[in-house]
Amino acid sequence: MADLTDIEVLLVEDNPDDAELILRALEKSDLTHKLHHVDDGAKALDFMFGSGVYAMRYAAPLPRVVLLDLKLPKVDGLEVLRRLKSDSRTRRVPIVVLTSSNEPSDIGFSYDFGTNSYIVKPVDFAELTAIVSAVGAYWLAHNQIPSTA
Amino acid sequence: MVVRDQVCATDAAELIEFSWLNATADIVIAVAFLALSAMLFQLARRRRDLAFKSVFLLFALFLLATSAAHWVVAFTPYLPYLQSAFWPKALAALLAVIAAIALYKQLPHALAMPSRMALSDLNTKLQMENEQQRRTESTLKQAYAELEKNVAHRTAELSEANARLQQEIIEHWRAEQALRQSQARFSGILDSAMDAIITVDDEECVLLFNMAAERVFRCERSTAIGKPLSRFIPRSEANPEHIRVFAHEGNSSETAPQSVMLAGRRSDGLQLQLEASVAQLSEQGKRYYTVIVRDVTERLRVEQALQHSELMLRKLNEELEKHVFERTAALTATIRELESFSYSVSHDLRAPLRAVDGFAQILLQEHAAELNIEGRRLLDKISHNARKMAQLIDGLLQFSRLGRAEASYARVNMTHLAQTVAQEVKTQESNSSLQIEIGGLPTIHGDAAMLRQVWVNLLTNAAKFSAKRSKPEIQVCGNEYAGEAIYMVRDNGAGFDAAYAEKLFGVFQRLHRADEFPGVGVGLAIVKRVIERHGGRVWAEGAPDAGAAFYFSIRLPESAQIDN
Repeated sequence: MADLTDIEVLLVEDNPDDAELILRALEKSDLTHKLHHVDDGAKALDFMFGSGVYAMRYAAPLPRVVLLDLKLPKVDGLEVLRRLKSDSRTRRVPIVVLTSSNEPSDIGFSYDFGTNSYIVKPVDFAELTAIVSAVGAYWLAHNQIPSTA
Repeated sequence: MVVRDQVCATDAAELIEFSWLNATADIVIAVAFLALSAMLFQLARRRRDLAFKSVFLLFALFLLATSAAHWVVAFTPYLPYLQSAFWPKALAALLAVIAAIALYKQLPHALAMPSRMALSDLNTKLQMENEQQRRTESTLKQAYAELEKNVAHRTAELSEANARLQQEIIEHWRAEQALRQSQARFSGILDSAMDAIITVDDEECVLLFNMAAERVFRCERSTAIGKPLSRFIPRSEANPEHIRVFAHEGNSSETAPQSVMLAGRRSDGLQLQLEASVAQLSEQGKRYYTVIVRDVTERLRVEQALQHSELMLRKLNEELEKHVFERTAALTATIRELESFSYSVSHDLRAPLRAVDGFAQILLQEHAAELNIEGRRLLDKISHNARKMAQLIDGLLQFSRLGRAEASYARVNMTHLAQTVAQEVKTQESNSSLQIEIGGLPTIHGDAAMLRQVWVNLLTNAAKFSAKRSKPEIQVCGNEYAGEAIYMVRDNGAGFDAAYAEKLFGVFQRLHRADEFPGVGVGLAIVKRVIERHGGRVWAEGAPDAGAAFYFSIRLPESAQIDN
C-alpha cells in the first residue's frame, strides 16, 4: 500500500468488481501509484478528515481528486458529497461522481451538492477504460488545483 | 212808496234839495222793485213745478207796475205828478188788488203746503225708514243665503247618505253572493282536500265527513255521520291524548294547530298511522272539534325505507372510502417499491453485467494466448450479451421513468419541434442522402420534453428502417380532424407485416431480427406511452418492404380548436 499521507486519488467504491475494473483501467494509464480505495462512505469521510482509522492522515495533504460512487453502505454517496462540499477543509477537493445511476434526480442532487463532474459507468469495459483513463488524465495531469485552505 | 206830499216849497233851494232826495229814493225803490219783479219772473220761469205760479206772476206784475210808477215820480220831480204818475199807480193798484185776491184765494192751499223744515224732517224720517228697510233687506238676504246653503248642505248630505245606502245594499248583496259562493267553495274544498276532515260535536259524534275521510277510512259519509269518532280513531294506548284533551290543551281556533301522531283504524280493520291536528270551535254555547287527518302510513314506510337505505349507503360509502384509502396506500407503496426497484435496476443490475463484460474482456486481452479460437468466440458472446442486456435495462429504465415523470403542459409548436429533431437525426445518420420532409403541423398543448422524445423515436425509427434504401425518404405531415391533431411519419423503408401492427408498440416487441436492425424495442412503446398520457392514440400502417406509416393523435383543447 502506498503512503497514506501522499494520496492523489481516492476511489470510493463498494463493489469490489467495479473497483478492480476501475483500477485496471487506471493501471493502463499508469495512474494508480498514488491511489487509495475505500469501500464505504464512512471510511471515505474518515480518510478525508483524518479521523477514525485514518487518524494518521490528520493534516495530511488532500487527494487531487475523489472518484465517488453514489450507492454506498453506511453513509451514502450523496451524503459524503454534501459533507465534503460543505466543510471548509474539503470543499476545494474536486469530486467526480462515478456511478451506475443515470437517474435525473441523482444527477440533479449531485450538482446541487457541488460535484465537479458526473459520470455514468458504462457496462462496456472498453468504454469504461477509456472514460476512467480520460478522467484520471484530466484531473491529475491537466487540472490545476488550489492550495488547500 | 211815493212821498210826494212831503215836498213843501218854502224856498227854492230847499225845494230843489228836497226834490233830489225824493228822486233818489224813488229811483232806488224803482230799481229794487224791478229787480224783485225780475227775480219773481225768473223764479216762475225756472221752477216749472212752482206752486201758485199765477200768484207769483201777479206779484211780479204788481212790483213791475209799482217800479214803473216810481220811475215816473223820480224823473218828474218838478211836475205835479198827479198826471204823469197816475197810470202806472192805477195799474199797480189794480195788480195789487188782483194779487191780494189771488193770494187770498190761494192762502189755504199755501198754508196746507208743508214747510221746508217739515219736508226735511219728513225726508230724514223717510231716509231712516229707507235705511231700516235696506238693513232688513240685507238681513233677509243673508238669512236667505244661509238658508240656501243649509238646504244645499242637507241636500248633499242626503244624497251622500242615499249613495251610501245604495252602496250598502250592493255590498250586502255581494256579501250574500260571496257567502253563497264561499259556502259552495267550502264544501268543494272540503271534498277536494287531500286530508280527511271530520267534525264532531261535544259527544264526539261525527257531524262532517269529507271525501278524503271516506277514502282514508274506507267508509261512506252516510255511514260515518252520527257514529262516534272512536270508531275511526280508537281510544287506545296509541292515542293517549284523545281529541278533546288535545283540543283543550293544545289548540283553540285562534292558534295554529300542532300536529300529533295518532293511530287510526280503517273500516276494514287495517291500522293507519295518522298525522292529525284538531281545532276547537264554539258556536251558540256548543263546542265542535274539527280533526284534520292525513294518512302517513305509506310516507312513514317510505321514510323508514329511505333512512334504512341511507344508512346502508353511508355504511357502503364508508367501506368504499376505506377501500379507496387502503388501495391508495397500497398503490403508493407499490409506486415507491417500483421506484426503488428501477433505482436498483439502474445500479445493481448493471454492475454484474459490467463485471461480466469487463472480466471477459480482461480474459481476452490478458490471457489470449491461453485460449483457442472457440474460447475467444464464446467470450465474445458473453461480452456481447452482457452489453445487450445493459441496453435492455437502459430501455426499460427510460420507459419506466417516463411513466413516473411529471408532465408540464404548455403550448408546443410541433412543426418547429419536428424540424429540430429531424436535423439531429440527419446529422447522426450515416446515409447522407436521407430526405426528411416536414409539412405544417398543428400546434398542441403538451409536455415539450416528452413530445420531443416521440419525434426522436419515430424519426430515428424511420431513418433506421429506411437506411438500406438508396434514397431513404421520410415524410412528416399533420392535420386537425374532429377535435384532434393527427400526425403521420412515413418512410420508404423495410415496412412490416400489417398482421403484427399491434405488437409494434409493446415493450421489447420487435418485428425484425436484431442483426437486421439494431434496437431494444422500447422506442415505440415510449411513443405510445407519451401519446396516451396526452389523451391520444397511436397506430401504424405498413406492408413488408413497402415502407411504414406511424400515426398519432392528440386531443386539442377547446380554445386551441378555435385558434387554429
